[in-house]
Amino acid sequence: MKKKYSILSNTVYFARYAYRQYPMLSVYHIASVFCGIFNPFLGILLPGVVLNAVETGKLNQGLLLIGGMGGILLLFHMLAGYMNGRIYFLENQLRQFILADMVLKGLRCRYEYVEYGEHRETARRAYRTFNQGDSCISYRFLDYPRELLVNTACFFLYSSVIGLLNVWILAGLIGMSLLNYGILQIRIRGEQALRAEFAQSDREINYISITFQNTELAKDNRVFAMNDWLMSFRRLVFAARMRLEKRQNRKIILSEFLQFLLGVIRDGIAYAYLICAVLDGSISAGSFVIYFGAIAGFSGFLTSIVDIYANLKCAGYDAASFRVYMDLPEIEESGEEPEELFLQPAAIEFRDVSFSYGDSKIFEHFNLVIHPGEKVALLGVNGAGKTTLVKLLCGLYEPAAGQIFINGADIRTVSKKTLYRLFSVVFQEKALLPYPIGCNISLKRLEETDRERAWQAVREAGLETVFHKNGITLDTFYQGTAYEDAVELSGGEQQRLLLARAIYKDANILILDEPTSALDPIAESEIYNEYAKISRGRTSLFISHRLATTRFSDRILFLEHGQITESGTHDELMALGGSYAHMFEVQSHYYREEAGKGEKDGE
Amino acid sequence: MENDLTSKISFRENWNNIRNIMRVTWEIDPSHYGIAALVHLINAIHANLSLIITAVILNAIYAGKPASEIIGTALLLILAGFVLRMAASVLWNEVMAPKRENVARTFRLNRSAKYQNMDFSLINSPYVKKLSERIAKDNNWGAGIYNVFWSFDSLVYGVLNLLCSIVIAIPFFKRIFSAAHPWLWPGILLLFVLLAVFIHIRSKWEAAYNEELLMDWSDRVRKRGFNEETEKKMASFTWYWAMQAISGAYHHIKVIHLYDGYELMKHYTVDNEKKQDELVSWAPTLGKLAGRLEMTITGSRSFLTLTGFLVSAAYAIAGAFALGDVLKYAGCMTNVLDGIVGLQMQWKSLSLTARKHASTLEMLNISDEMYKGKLPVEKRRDHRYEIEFRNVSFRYPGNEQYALRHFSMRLRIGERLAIVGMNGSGKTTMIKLLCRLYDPEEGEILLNGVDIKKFSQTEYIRLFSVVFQDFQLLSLPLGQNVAASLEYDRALARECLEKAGLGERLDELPYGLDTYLYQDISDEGVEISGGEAQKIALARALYKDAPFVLLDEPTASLDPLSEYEVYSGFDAMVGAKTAIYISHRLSSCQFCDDIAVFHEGRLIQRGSHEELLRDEQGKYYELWNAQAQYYT
Repeated sequence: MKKKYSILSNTVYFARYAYRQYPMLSVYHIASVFCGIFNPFLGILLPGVVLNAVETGKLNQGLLLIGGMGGILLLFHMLAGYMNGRIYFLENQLRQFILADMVLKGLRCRYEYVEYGEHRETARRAYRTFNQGDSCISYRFLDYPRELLVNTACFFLYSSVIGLLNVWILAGLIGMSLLNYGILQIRIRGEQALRAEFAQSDREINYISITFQNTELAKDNRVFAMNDWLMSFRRLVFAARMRLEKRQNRKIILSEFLQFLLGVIRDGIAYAYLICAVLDGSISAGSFVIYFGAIAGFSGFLTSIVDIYANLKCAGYDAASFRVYMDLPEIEESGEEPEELFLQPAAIEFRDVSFSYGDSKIFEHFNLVIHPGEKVALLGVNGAGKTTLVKLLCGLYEPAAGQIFINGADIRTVSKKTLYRLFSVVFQEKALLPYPIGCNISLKRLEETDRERAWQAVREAGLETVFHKNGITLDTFYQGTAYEDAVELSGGEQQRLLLARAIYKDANILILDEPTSALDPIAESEIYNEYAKISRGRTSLFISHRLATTRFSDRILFLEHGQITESGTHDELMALGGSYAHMFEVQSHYYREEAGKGEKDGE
Repeated sequence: MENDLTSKISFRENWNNIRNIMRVTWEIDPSHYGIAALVHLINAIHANLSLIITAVILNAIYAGKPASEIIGTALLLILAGFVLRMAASVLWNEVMAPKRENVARTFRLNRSAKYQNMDFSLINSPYVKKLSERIAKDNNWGAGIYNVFWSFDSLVYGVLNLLCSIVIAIPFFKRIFSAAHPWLWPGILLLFVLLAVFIHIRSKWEAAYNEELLMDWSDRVRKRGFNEETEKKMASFTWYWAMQAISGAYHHIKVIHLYDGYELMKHYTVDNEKKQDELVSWAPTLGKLAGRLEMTITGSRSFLTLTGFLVSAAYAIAGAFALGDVLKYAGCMTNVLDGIVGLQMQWKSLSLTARKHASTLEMLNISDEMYKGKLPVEKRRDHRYEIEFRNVSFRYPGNEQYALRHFSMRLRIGERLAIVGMNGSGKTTMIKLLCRLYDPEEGEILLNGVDIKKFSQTEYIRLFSVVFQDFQLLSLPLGQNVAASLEYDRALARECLEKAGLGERLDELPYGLDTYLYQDISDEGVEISGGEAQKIALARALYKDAPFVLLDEPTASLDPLSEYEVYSGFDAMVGAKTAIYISHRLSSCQFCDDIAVFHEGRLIQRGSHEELLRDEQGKYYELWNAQAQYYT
């Protein structure tokens, strides 16, 4: 993480988050700090008061004093308990809100950040910091600073008490506390040195856990007897983890040894001094107890201060992942809206576009023109960059160099929101949401969904019969975890639902990315017919490995090594005898030969 | 409100729950509970030692001992304390903590691993689904298995601390009872009445808190008087989405962008969360209950401390014991009272967490229901295995419709069979039954004339190599994926990858066979395309070298050239083995001597391509032409 935020900045950030959500939470926080300062102080005073009362030997008066003081302590303790109970749950709920904000952030920031590159890991790390239950980052930044405040206040309070006794003792204690800090540093440095290894180990354990829970894997697992593999991997990972923990814990043992040793020296000197003081009559037995309590408590506070500070520093790394993620640039809401952009049908031009994923170059000086209303079939072998091309066109990815024009307008000058309005896209992945079917079609809330139009889209996508047969309406939830009456659709039906989504949007440019790979021949043929219908009058792009699609296209583009190597109609390209012709030959010769034979036989 | 975690159950049941969960974790590592108890013993002794030090010093001062002697004694005790703490630190950090972490990890993963171990037919059964939901609900709150450890810790430490304090306080109690002050019995009575009131209020409030805490969401909504419809509207999937995001799923995000679905997502995540919070006010309500409970707990603690001080001071003033012992006895008395009150609470928390784990244990204990035969499968060099489906009917668990109905079919040795049919016609189901992932409801499947149930499953499954439609690869090294094993024959793995058409790609990979797939585990892992994944799955099937090779749409995401490579190379790859292809690309039928056409769970046509095409009324003719029309 390059970016760093100070502890103060992080504290203020989360405190404001809390205040915005639950103003009362801030009140409880303040009250808990107040109780936190006075409770321990009253706690060490009370035994002294008891001893003094006994020494004085007056029964009623003594008991009254103890009872009175104890009563105050009791009230403060109860108040503190009450505050802590309330705080815990509000902070818990706050975490849910922050998590929800993070989910939304992922939908607002530029798409490339969530899909690849370093920011994808940032996002994952940010989520992970909220996946640690009670030690998640918001808890830490709401709780540690309070503790820091309490301990600092106590430190000064106790200092003044001990200073009354002997300034030199105070000085000695401060010196020892500094030594203590040095000891803690050993520990913290040890932990930091192992951070990366722990993170990797967490990653592996997490992956094993996800893998074991993956019920999709269960089939392959049984056929290929993968359990032994998984279990031996698990054994390796667990053994390494245990070694790692031992390495870290040895540092802890060392630091505890030094700390305890320091404690022995401190207590020894304190007892010796106080014993002498009592013996020469300068303090009473009661004061002996109070002072000893103060001395023992004192280093506790200073140690805690240092400890909490270190924890806050550590938490700062997590906070940084979170905040860097939350600060990622978002897609622009508004911007120029050149009128020509929405001219129907649209013209598309890629001019000198370059793009790469990390080190691997996909496009270099790529040029392409698609004319208004043209139906283009985009072909190429796996990994040729067809989907990347679509993502660049839609503005999901930014070209490293070059420009993309739609109707002559450079899409970089247009806000993403506006640009996105131009496209109806069906991607390969079946991105359906666990919300009502209607919402899945319109991507709007049910109240804002045009039901007429949604049914029309359902009809055109060939889903109406299926819906009627299974009693599916626009209000039916699509396969979520929460409802038993949610529907599940088969692979082919899911494809059609995605098509319905594109039909509903009715945008200027239609893009279909392999929508038929999981369909049987009849369904496939139906989708082609649908495509022919809905693409009428608009610019459209069809990506498929089924070369039959070229039948419906005005032009075929063959993508190879980041360039359009062939372009033309089916007949032109066949005559050219290049890659396309070869590919078509490979795929079609069986059908042609055999179909011919079949027909002949039928005659 | 009915709640299966807060309703009353008998002591016996509680005890059984506790015993069960302790036993399961004990079996993972038998020594860790014992070592934890030892550490707690040391800690309890150390805690009581601090009480003694002050008393010893003060008494020595009052006894007029010389400073050097007092200081010497004090130092000795301090050193003893140091030794105890160091012993506890070493035991805990070196032995206990890593052991405990390991037990917790193993326990959690054993639960997940159960999905990979139980009968396949059970995984998606309504029973297991319900049970998984219950487990999720039971683990919704708290720290899972750590709660068991922590409850164990506090109970054991509580008991040991109580015992130590009783030992120290024996002279004190003796003195109190022998002094027989007129206030003694009424005082003790009053104390116990007050304590009883405290305990009563606390358990009442604790019950109220637990009921609210452990109530599931829909109960909570209904308790507030909302109906099911509202509940649905308020349904929030924030959690679901968070999980998706953590698992790295991002495909839906581009759709949200392009279809302007942000407001929809906001509605179902943040807005719903807020609306719920307003209507159900979960956190404020629980916070209030928790605050009240915490208040009584800290209140009763302070009250006990105060009682200890008051009683001890009163007796000391009355001259029952030396001034130096006042704080010691006060501390011990507080410890004893606190310990007694605490036991009840610690027991409760241990029983509750044990109860929450009952569902997990139920999952771990699910026994297989399929009949497990023991018959070995005869190993035949010539691969002469014959398989027959005889009048098989099958429905998926919880499903009304038959996936296969009165289905009969023979598989001949060494043949290439293509299975075609529309989506949902039972093609994949047949493969699943063949691999005995499910047992047929009616009819039987025979291997060389013997019902496949009678064979040992481990031996039987060795006959099959399958590439499922939704095959899975793991984010582990490529070579391991091909062999499905940590240790493997590298030359063979390489050969299989080359046969599957990945030879060139393999040479490009930075670490060859040791290159990680995807980036879930390693930053140096490579992202692979769907087509490449399919080829790896093919290589895996080849590596297994089984007599039957089953391919369910092996070329769905391959481009035409790779598809052709696979088709044309496969005859050579498969060799003398029996191969079954399922494909929507009817061109694959070209490689098969025999084609089976499925429709609505039955085998309706079978024969060679030419034979089937001759029947113009047949399904095959229809399927073929639907695809072929575009190529003629």
